[in-house]
Amino acid sequence: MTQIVDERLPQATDSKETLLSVRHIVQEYVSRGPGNVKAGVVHAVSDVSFDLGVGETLGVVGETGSGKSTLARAAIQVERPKSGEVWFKGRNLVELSRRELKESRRDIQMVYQDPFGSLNPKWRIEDVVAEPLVGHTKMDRTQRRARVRELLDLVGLNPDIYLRRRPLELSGGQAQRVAIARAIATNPALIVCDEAISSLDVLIQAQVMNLFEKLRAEFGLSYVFIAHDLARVKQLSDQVAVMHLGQLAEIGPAEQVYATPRHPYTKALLDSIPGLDPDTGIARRPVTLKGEPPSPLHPPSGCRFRTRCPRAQDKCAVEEPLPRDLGGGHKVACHFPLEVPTVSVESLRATMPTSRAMTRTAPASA
Amino acid sequence: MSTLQQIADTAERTQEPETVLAVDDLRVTFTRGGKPVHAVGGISYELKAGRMLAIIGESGSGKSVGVRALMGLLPPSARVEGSARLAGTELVGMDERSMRRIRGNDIAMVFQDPARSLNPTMSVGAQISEAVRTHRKDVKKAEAAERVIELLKLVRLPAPERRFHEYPHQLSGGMRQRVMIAIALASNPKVLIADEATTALDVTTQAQIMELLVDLQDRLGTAVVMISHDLGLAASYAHEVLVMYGGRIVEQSDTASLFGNVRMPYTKALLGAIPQLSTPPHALLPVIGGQPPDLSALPSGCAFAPRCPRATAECLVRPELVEHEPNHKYACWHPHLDGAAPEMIAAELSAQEDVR
Repeated sequence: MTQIVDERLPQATDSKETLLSVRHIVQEYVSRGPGNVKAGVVHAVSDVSFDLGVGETLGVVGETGSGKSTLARAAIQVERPKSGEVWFKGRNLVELSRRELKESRRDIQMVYQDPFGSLNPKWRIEDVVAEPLVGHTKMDRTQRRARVRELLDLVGLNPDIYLRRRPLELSGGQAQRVAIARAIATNPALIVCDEAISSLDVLIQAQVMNLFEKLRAEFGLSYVFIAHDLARVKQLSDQVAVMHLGQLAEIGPAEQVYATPRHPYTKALLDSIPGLDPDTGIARRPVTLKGEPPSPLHPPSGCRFRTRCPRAQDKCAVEEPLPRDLGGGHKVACHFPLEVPTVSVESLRATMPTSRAMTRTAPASA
Repeated sequence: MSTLQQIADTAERTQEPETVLAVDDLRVTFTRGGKPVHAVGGISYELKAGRMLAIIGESGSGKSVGVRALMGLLPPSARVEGSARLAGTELVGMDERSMRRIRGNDIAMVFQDPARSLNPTMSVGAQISEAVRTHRKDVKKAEAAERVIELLKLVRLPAPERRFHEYPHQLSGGMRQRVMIAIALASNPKVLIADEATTALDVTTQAQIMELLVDLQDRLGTAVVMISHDLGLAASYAHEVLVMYGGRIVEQSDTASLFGNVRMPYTKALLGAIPQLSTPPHALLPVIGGQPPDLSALPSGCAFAPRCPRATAECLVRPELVEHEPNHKYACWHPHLDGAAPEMIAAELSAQEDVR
């Protein structure tokens, strides 16, 4: 497999530095049946490589079971990957000892999907946010308190009101802000967001996404942003990686992937988003992808998407497609990629019928 | 209204299917710490056979409580008032024994999390068969099994004969939700309520399940109430949309006329917060600040006023839900009208005050 060349994007910061470089990472789990008998191997992540620059955001999308969370967890060594290399700030995390790893975690933080599940319900907000400072810095109590106030202010929570509260007294959006405050407490370089906005209401989602954006601009943070929906990672991402059953189907500059998806799976994901244009009010009915995702225990031979792919041919069953560089850092793993220009989402939206035929109802008087 | 249009309207009305569900001024109140919590503060709507109604709102807007009240699924501490008629039968105040005959029979529900709604220790077939036989005692086991296979085929579960003997953990999320729909359809309900039925699913699976619901609706004539927080989903599938905020309906319209002409600033905000594929990277989304209201301390005026960019002193009085345009109701003093700039609205306001 060729190495992915990190192409600078106009949106990215001026820095040419690569922050995180993941090489050929493989993660597998042994699935055990009744009596602890080995039932098979789950190929959670198979040979994935990507680069992330300073101040850049990588959006990782894919269905449930596509290995997007496993990839992120293996990259930051929550679970050691089976093989592969992870270069972060010039060090290979895979080879670090536990102690060294703990040190480097100061620069890597995570924000999870369920804020209530990741905040200790018995602790006060100030203690929750101060915890990484206790472990990673030599700040004393007063310094920590000052820093916590500063952090809460930064994420848009009034310290005077929220310092003494406990997580369950907060709404979902507020709790997620606390989780973000805790994540940025030690001035990390990289934040991994695992479905961090998925459980929030639409309006709160927009607030939190803007907060992520503000922190990126202010502190030059890099994000790995995991989501199952392409639309949601759109305006956060410089690069987008589309995962399918443990493999990278497509990776590239966000604009390019969205405008001209080359992998049929990316196209299918884009097509299944229910679209609504806020200006015209025209809705776009999703186009469904037929069939169920295959089991990662017994992935199909050759291309793992072929069982659901409308373009699949005999070659796809025999030969596994390797990621091919299409230029500009846009890579696709497909024998028969979609041509450029494909029909763009916008033009599709205009040609689609506006949802179902409407019949008028007799109005009930208010 | 012109005579021509009247004729057209009558013609349409005679073809129209019967109203299966008529909700009138439904109110649900809980008591928390001695204080009343107005979870639903008076909602009214009608649903006809074969139509899909989408109820949209954030968490705590009362969208789920409002439909759970119809099925008698609220805890005994909830006080339900008003009226809800299912094909002529009053559901509010119905005793539990009669409700049990209706629930699952005439009105059925599909929940958000299929993994938690299915019994992990029973095979899929046994669970659907149970639903079939609960409502029709005369059905024999073998007949029920046939009906189960029929239902599994109806919801397009691949290999129904094999799935019959499988357990929920052997199915994917999408397949489990299909099983839930099969259970809900076991007794041919008039109304099917889908409470965030696709929220926990992948976008690809979500599209499949929505297609299935639409298809079933066309084939069986079931009326569907879809509860969601996703305006895009509602716009793509529902016939009518009802937007709730703070336990009340703030905007209600048929889908075709709503999304091109959104009037209520809250609906507008929801619409603006939908991520668009055309937005450039690192663009900020238009947001409104604040949090949804506390239902135990609702303001006396418009519940949205504290977060509303258009709010004025007038919003301290609650606007009623009025049909301002044909088939389009909204409760707002300062709606987004075509071509009306904010200054214009201020001018209109003073004019209105003069009239009064």
